[in-house]
Amino acid sequence: MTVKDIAETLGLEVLTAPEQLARDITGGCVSDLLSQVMGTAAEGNVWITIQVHPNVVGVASLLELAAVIIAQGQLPENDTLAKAHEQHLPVLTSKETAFTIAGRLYEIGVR
Amino acid sequence: MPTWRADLHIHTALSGCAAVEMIPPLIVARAREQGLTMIGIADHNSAANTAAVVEAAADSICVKPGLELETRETVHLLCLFDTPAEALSLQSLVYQHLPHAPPPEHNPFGPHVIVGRDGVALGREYRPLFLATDLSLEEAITAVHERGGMVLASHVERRAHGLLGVLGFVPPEAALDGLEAGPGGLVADRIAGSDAHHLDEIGSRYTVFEADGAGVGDLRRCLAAGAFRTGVVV
Repeated sequence: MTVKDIAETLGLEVLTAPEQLARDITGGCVSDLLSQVMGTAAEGNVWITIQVHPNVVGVASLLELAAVIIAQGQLPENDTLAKAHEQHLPVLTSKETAFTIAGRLYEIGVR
Repeated sequence: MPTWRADLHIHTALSGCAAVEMIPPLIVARAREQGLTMIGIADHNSAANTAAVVEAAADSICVKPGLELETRETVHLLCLFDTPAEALSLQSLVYQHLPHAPPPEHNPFGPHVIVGRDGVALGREYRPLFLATDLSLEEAITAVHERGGMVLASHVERRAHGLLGVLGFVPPEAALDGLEAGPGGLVADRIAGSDAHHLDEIGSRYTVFEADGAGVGDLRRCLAAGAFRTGVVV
């Protein structure tokens, strides 16, 4: 399953790095604590969070995550988007809660 | 009573999100240009550049060395001291409570540059200064006071890392010396600081303290008495 697949299935809006949507997803992570994500997320994971500051991109980039989904209608800061462009990281958004997004991803097979 | 026009919240090139121009001689020069008589140096979870700023300042401006500590709740605390040695004592504790992270080959978090008083780079800090410590709000506040410092909650209304943004309230038992307003307009009973990550932000928000002296003790009394006013430079 690729980032493009989940974006289409869940109706997520793609804000950055559309050229990276073919990336395969290896699993998922839901957290708003960056240190927790640093310790537990794996390369290729998709990370669901409501944090919108640029360090989110830093962590995702460092861990080589497939994409970040910003939940609950939160909008990434401009600096966050600029950094995501620079780091070729797909940032997607959804109006749904992190709980719902994670549930739907799990349902369609992201483990 | 003497007054101090202060910007207590300034970052250096050590903080990932700060510009490389944030080096001691330029910070001091810009602060003086803005008419400040006191500055606080507070990088994320580190005081590694504070001695350099104090040296660069010589006696031209009062420097309160410190750091901006991120608690386990992800709240930012502005921790300021009278001397770099005291600030480095807090830094030691903070470093023990930061997660380990391997030095990245590429660092997407910014340069984290350690500099000398003339701004020349001496090295890089590879600890994850951008992550939260596992110190609770209460533990952090106690640690600052034990080391002779003063501690305020940074930019409290900010959604990311602001005490009110994160917790929604000020815990009544939190022995904070004060609150820093931001972002947005000035707020009564809250000091104003720029949170400068770029030179042109220094002094853009400031606090005028009425205090007998510039020591931490004087400033804590001043804060407790509400003997300050704030301003914004448009």
